[in-house]
Amino acid sequence: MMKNHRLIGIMGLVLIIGFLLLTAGCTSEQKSLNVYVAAGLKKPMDVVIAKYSNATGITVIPNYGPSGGLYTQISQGQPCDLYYSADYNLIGKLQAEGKVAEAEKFMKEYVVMTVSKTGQGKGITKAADLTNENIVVAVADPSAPVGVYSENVLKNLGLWDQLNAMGNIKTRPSTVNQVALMVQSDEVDAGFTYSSTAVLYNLDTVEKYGYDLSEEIVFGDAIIKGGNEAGAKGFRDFVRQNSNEFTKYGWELYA
Amino acid sequence: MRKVSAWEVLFVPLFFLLIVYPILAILGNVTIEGMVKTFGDPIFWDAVKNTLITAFFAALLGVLLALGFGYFYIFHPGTVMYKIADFMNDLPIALPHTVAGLALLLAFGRNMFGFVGPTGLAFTLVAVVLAMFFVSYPLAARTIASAAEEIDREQINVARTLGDTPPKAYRRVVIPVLGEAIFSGFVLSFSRSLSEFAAVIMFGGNVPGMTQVLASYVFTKVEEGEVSMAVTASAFCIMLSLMLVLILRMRGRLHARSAQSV
Repeated sequence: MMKNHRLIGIMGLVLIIGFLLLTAGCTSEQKSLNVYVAAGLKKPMDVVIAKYSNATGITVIPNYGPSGGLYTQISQGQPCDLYYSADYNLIGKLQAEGKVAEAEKFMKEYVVMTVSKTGQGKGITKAADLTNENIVVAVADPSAPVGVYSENVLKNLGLWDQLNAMGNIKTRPSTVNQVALMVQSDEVDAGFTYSSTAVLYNLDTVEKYGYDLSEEIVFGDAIIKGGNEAGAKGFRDFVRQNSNEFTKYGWELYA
Repeated sequence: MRKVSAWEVLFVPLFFLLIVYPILAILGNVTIEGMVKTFGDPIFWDAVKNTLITAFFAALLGVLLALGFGYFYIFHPGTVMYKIADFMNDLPIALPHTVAGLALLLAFGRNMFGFVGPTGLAFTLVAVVLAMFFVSYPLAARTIASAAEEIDREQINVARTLGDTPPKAYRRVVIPVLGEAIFSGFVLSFSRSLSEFAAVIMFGGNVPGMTQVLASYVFTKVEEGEVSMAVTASAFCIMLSLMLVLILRMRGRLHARSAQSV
């Protein structure tokens, strides 16, 4: 009986200590930086983060996800120091909510149509070919900015309603990387991604769309108020200095 | 006055803080505007319909296979097949569900199952059922197995000595006793299926009005920043789950009463 009591006491103590440690870790650690990054930037960002940590000893904790989801997390007050969004409008929304200390436009990006092996066999060379019979198309869900841009392209080309009526859009994945994965593994015939994603995944790009069709696509960064603002500034400048890590995948610097 | 035990001091506040309070937080954030927008959205109702249908079939399939697992558990617990099945039961729970979705896509997509249709089994309601089943089956299997553990072996042995083959003994002796477990296995996997979105998005298709289910609808709305709609849809999910639990409880009570009257 005594033993039991002691065991339970120890369990309770461990829980309390663990809880204190976890909450303390969130607030008082100065040597780390929470950076929320649009999923599409993962590969080059990982490289830059590794360089930065090596050079400065500062730990950067990236949180990769769909920009919209990251926006919601920040808007609801999750601790974030720096935010890279695939949609500058989301940064605008955060600014309107008074969450942003400093923001800037970072890079330009384009929507492209990529085609898989089977898709090539079916002779898909332009968006209009998607309305042929038995074509399987992946368009990202509107929760990811690329989904909205792709919808814009298809709407402006006058293909959107027809594609939906035909049911050729078979899947609405939640990130641009999932679209790329589906094209790469030949589970779909065609998919809309960013031009950089197509390079990253080694996909065949058959068409690139201008801003008249997709609307302007600007990746931005925002330093979030109330966090480690000085640290965020330091890392953001470092990313800028290493922008060649991004441009080699096809992103263009905004200015 | 009754002496209050340390357990009560520990349990009551933590239970309300960590379990009840978050649920109330969702319900308390439901707004008229969100309700109007969500309930006026035909895609929401398509998602509800798809969810109820697919989760029902996923749970049915789950219970059916779980009964198969129960058979192995009772009659062939020493076999390699049982050991594999027992071990694999835990895997879908531990697997990150986007990975589960990708695994299902590669396994049942058109590269392997192209003979079924232009996308294989992927991006159809069948795919949604399979994704839900994949994540919820272990719950049904565990429920059935733990109930089968309680069964009086003597009864099975009597049936066996009277000439019943194992399948016959399973059908006539075991399954009737498992009634309650089958029901709760069904409800458990149904509820688990309701909440699954990662595997469902990747493998099921997530096309609004076609293959989108409630959980992925909620996920999409959260990601779009449509928080008021997401909250309403979540509250709807909570009500649906509550109704399920109530049904489960009521059935349990009826069952207990009929058992008493026998």
